[in-house]
Amino acid sequence: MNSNQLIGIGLRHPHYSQVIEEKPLIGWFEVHCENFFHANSALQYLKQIRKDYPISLHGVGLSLGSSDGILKNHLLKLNNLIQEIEPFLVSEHLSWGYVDGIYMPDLLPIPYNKESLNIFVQNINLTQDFLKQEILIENPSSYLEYKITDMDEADFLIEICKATGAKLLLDVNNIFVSCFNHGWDPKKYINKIPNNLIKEIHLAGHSKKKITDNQSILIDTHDNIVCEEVWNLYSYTLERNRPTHTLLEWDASIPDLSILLAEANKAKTYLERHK
Amino acid sequence: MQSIKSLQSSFKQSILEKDSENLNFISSNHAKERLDIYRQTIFENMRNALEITFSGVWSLIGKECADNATYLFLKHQKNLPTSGCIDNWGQEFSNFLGSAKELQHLIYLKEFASYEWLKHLSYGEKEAKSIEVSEISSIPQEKINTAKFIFLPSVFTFSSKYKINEIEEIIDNPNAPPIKSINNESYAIIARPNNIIFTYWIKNDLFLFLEALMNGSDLTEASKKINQLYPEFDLTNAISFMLQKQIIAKVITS
Repeated sequence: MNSNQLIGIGLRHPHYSQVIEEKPLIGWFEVHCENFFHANSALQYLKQIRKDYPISLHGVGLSLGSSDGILKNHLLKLNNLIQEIEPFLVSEHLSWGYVDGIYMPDLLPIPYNKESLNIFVQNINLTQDFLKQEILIENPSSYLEYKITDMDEADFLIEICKATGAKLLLDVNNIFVSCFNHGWDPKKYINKIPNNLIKEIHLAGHSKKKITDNQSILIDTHDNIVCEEVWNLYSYTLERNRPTHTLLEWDASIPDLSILLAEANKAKTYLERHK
Repeated sequence: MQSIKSLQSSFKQSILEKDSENLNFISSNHAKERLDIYRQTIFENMRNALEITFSGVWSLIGKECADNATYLFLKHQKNLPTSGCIDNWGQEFSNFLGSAKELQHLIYLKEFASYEWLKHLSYGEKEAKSIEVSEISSIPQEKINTAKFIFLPSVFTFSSKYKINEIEEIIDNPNAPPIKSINNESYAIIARPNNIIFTYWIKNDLFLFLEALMNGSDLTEASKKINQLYPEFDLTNAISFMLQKQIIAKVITS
């Protein structure tokens, strides 16, 4: 597979028509599944774009880390979308959002220990069995840690993959953000991940926020270009892994499509350097 | 050791009730400030979902007032999303606007919000093809009288005791003439033929006729019922309206 085919961008509403009309040179697109659960005009656009490009479906609302289990209705809708779009990848997050009948719309962090591992394994197995499909699990950006955590995030992800057969969507920006926020070492994190587990990489921009006079944390805002440190970490990841599908994400203050494509081209040069 | 279930319930409690006293499940420093980042994202995502669905409400009462109303709405746990598909969420917002003391002077606000919710539902319904004129004209007269009409899934009826149509026009067109009195009924059919949302503001007789058909009356039953109330009701015009606006999915003849 050549570098052009490996690079994709996140497809968002402002670019639907332009993509259909101009058919930009890009390998694939990724969309958030929940935006296409209704059979409305958004889905019509996606079906049109699917005729020309491979599509990856990326979920944000399944809540795989929920101790209350996952909602069957959500799985059903996801399954319907998969039948309709025939994606080449399906992914979700190492996070939770649903408890006690209430859904909090964010990718909330989970403690890493034996009990939470069992919850994830159970929910991922159920999802993969229901969808009859392997899914990829994305490492989250996180802003806090828990007292009951007794494993590190990379080990936790590896254990999940071993137990479920799921693969990894390695978000290099999220590694950078979480490592900055918790004082972890990003290279040690990447070194731990076996190269046969990574099936997709995400790159995105983040922002910095002061939480006290002396302390700032990084927030995964997806509203900017990829910073130099994250490009370097991407390069470091590629040195240790085979060339992998790579996605440029941009979800807020969405720029002109040409800017996203320029970022995608930059990722392509990194991929070619590490062929 | 705290269970994951108990931790997730505590997390939810801290987020929704702004409870910063019991954050002992967090090991990071500045736990409150860190948790605030999640709280802000969660509330902003919910606020944003409501603003997209009820964009007219935001225009009518202004962003600051609408945002404040949202935060009051979200204080009640029964109003919060119950699944990861928050596109389906927000139905209760119109009732909330109708009951909020601070907004009582905007007597039309609840009904305007209900109208926006129906447009949102119409947008989310399944795409379906409307029938062609030729399909109706080929049905023999004796069968058309007892025919039942199935509407596109995206078709919804709406009625209000206020002039919601004129209020909407003011939002869409700032140069629209001022409303003299809002105390006048309005009736509409909302539909999404060919994937575009339309609102057709119609008269009471046509509205009642379409409602009767949607509730299962056949053509004769529906027109008889309307003729009793509105002797001047024109059945041919009504059928022509349904066909022109492409809102009929199927005609069932016995």
